[in-house]
Amino acid sequence: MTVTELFPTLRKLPRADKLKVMQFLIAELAQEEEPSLQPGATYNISSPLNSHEAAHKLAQLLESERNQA
Amino acid sequence: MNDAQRFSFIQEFDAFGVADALPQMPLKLKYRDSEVEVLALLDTGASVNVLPYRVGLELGATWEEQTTSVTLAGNLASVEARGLLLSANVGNFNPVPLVFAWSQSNDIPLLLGRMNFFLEFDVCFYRSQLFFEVRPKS
Repeated sequence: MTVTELFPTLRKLPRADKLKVMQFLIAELAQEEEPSLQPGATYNISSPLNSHEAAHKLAQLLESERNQA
Repeated sequence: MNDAQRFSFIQEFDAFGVADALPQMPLKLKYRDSEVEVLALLDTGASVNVLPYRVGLELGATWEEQTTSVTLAGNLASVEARGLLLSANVGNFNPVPLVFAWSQSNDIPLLLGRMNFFLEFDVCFYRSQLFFEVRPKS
């Protein structure tokens, strides 16, 4: 169903129901806009944060390849 | 000074059906005579670049030949990784050497981290406008 098809139906609604539709849409839009996290959900973080030793070793590998080039 | 190249955030839906946008960009990786095109995630939280196992294999790299063993933190702490030096083409810029922690996992995206992607390139994120700009270091 398209928005254009919805309008005639909405127009027929009583005033109170029109207000309810407005509130519903406002809530829907707000939910889309607000940052939210799902309670109890697991969010994976792939970033190897603070892998300082790995970074140091890779820097050495990069440097040794540069010296050979 | 090089001009910046602009890339679009890639919009995806997360596990909960919520729209998300990721700073991912295409990248050509080269190892010896092999070349593959991949989608890479720019990750300022990552200490190092991370290469999924299958991408290393596609490039013809041999695990046993890589002698630099590295330990990763976070979700990847249990995954074995070894250093692998590749050549990378970003956009139309000249190729640069990128060193990767080649991990024995395929459950991760290809990550571009601080060693050494962010040493080679300056990046500006414009998340609200869904694009980011990348420029080689000056």
